[in-house]
Amino acid sequence: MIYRKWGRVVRWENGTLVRVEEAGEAREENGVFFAQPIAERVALPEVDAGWVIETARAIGEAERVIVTHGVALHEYGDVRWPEETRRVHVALIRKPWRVLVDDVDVATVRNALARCEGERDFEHLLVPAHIASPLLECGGHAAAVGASARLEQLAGGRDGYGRPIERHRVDGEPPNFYRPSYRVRPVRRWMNVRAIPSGTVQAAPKVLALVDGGKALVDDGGRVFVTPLRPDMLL
Amino acid sequence: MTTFALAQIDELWLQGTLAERRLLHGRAEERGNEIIASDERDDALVTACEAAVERMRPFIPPDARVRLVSRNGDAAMTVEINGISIVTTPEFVESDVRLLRSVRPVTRHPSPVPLVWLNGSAAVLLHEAIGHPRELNIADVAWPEWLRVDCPIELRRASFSDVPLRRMTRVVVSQVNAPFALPDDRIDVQLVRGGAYDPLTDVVTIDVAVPRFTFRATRAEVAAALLGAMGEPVRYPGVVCSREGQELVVGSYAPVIVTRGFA
Repeated sequence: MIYRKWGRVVRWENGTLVRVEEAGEAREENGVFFAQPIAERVALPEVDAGWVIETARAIGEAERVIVTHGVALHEYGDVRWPEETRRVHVALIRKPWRVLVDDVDVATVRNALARCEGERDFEHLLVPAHIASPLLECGGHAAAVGASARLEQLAGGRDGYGRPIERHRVDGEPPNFYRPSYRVRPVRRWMNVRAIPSGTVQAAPKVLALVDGGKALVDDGGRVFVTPLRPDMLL
Repeated sequence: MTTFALAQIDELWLQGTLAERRLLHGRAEERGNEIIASDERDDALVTACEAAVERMRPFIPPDARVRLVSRNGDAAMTVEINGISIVTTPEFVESDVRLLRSVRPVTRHPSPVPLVWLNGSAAVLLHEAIGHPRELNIADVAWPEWLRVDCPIELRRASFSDVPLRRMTRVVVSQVNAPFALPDDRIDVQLVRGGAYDPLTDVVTIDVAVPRFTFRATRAEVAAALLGAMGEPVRYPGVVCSREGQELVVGSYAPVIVTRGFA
């Protein structure tokens, strides 16, 4: 069977606005993966360049500012499904730290970074879902965390072969495949991962953002620190 | 308005068998600070890539993991054997693969023992310590007077949908009347796995592949560690440089260079 993708994206990358329109297909024959562009076009929704530009300008000065709005139509066999993504990636720096923000609310992190008092080690941390999920989705992290926290894949969306992503305990081989681009052979991966709620949440510093080098920016009762980020810190 | 057109074919071969093949093509038009890109095809560029890949296929070692890449008709081969890789061309693949087969990746711990950078590998050290700071317009530190580093910087991009960045086109390290004494107690650096430069901390990281170890040092520490050099620049088999997710081949050459160890 052939996988096809039609996509349109507008991206702000450090002051340059990039508009891209492309389509391609991929197939696997006797274990060999082939991918190539296709000339066929389908109607796609418009992308919101205004939102991209306004969001990027509102973020202001940073080492890296990438804002994207993308729309895509995927097809695998008889299944077709649309996708829309809005992403923000910002790197803020205050020597010696580089803070990575993958969220529209950059101002909160910027203000916290300005108040950071230094580095401090904490026994436990509270990691909000939007920061924890990308860490947990890659197999290695999921396995590392698995011993101390039970994880689950939440239902939502379709995987790289058009199959619904269903609720599933993170255990053993992932049932779904991740296909970030038509040019990439799909790989098994857990998606929409979160820790299964259990027990009582203890008071602990809250992670505001990740810091380059395996660290995190945390708010500890109104005081801000950078701390090492270890999987066993998950409550 | 400037226009950029790209065609690229890459193939992955595992132990002599084709595993993956990709065709990529597109065109980008730049107007001020805006780029409009699409996957428009340039038949001549695609044909040039097909020819280059055909030229590379006969040189695929049957026991290796090999990636063939042609961009607009050029040719680059990444060959990996026993977890160590080189980047080469059909012209040099036989001698480079002989080098790859001749080395043993024993693990060493960083130590104060001097390093002798062979096979042009010092080009990677100076790619990180001099090339990347120049890309970013960061002021130089004081380098030895005998050291010469030619690394032209141009606007380059990996794909039609990328923003062009100031990138090195090559790194040619040479020496003029450098001191040189081969230390009796030394570690010979044969091949380098990769490196990085962080402008925030001014720290260079080098992952040496043969023998296996990693060290970190500031640019000032790297400059102070350069003890001497000998001979003409030698082609290093492979630097694929990645910045902002854009991978580009950078031709790299260096003479034999001796540095202090980075413990």
